[in-house]
Amino acid sequence: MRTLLQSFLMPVLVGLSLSSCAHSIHQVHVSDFSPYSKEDDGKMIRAESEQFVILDMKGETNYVEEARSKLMAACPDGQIVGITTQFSTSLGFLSWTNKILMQGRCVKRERST
Amino acid sequence: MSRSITKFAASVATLASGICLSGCAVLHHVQIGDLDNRGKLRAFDIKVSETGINLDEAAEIGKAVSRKNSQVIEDINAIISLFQMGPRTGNMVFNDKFAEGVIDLIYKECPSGRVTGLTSIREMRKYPVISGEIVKVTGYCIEGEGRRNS
Amino acid sequence: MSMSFRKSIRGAMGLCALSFMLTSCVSLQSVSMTQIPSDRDDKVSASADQFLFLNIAFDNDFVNDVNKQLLERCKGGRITGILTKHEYINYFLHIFARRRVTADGFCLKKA
Repeated sequence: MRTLLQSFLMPVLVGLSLSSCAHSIHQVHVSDFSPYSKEDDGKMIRAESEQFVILDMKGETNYVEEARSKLMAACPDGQIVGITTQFSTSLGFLSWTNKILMQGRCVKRERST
Repeated sequence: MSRSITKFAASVATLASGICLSGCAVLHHVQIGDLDNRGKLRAFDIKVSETGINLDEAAEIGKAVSRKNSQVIEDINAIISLFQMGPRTGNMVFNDKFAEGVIDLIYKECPSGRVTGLTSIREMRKYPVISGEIVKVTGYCIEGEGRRNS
Repeated sequence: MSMSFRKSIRGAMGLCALSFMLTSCVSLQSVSMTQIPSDRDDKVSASADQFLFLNIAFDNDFVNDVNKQLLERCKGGRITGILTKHEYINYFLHIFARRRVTADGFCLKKA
């Protein structure tokens, strides 16, 4: 019993306890801030999307467009400046979740730029 | 006695040089934005980071230190690897929100919002077992009158 | 466990492994987005790719086609709100693969 505990159960228990949510940040991109506007002039908006992948089997990356559409929907009549795009992956058991986070500042302007 | 002291000093020196020499900087991604050079520019630098962990290196060190338990350590590392599968840039971190406040930090550096020449850098400072997973954003704040909009 | 059952299990596992190998897998390498305008009526998009054998590429010139396509599709205008994606498509065990860059933006023609 002790041998079984030492040789099998202990590694499993320790492994499970240490394998809390691990992530990998691949890149963070910050876009330009023009046309310039002060911090008080607009409001911060954000949009997130993700894609769950099992063993790297996936045929598209449409979650990126999904995040972009959500961001544009949050600011339908304004310009979005200073967009930060974060691409990261949350690691899991034989699977992972790719995530896109887009944040920006929505500045209301006249429709034609 | 002197032989053992010499041996000890040699192993300490080897360990110290190994630690010093193995810390290195790795560049993963870099992107450069538009640069508006029509006013007085004040440079700023924003850095956010999180500690990354390389469990494979930790397992190797554990196996070297404790040869008796090397099989257990290998088993634990294999099980953890199954639970932490996925594409990685640098080492894994346990907090993926450390870079979310970058835009607020940019506005703190430049409240007028007249920011240009933004360079986004994703880099890593590597040490044994641990690393610094860094997101750095450098740019310029346009000061003085200049043009308001591009 | 009978011989035929073991054979069928092995056959099923082999089939799963083969289908897994033959599935083309797309992974995102990098993504970026520039500032989005308020006028979003005129969308433009461009794409370029490069086939890879054994992941060997002798140049990255295929990326330049993306810029040329965008310029052709928005003559006399300004392109902004560009979402740029760099993808890697693995067809078979990284022996046959493709790199693709796509750019989607908005064309602004008013002064």
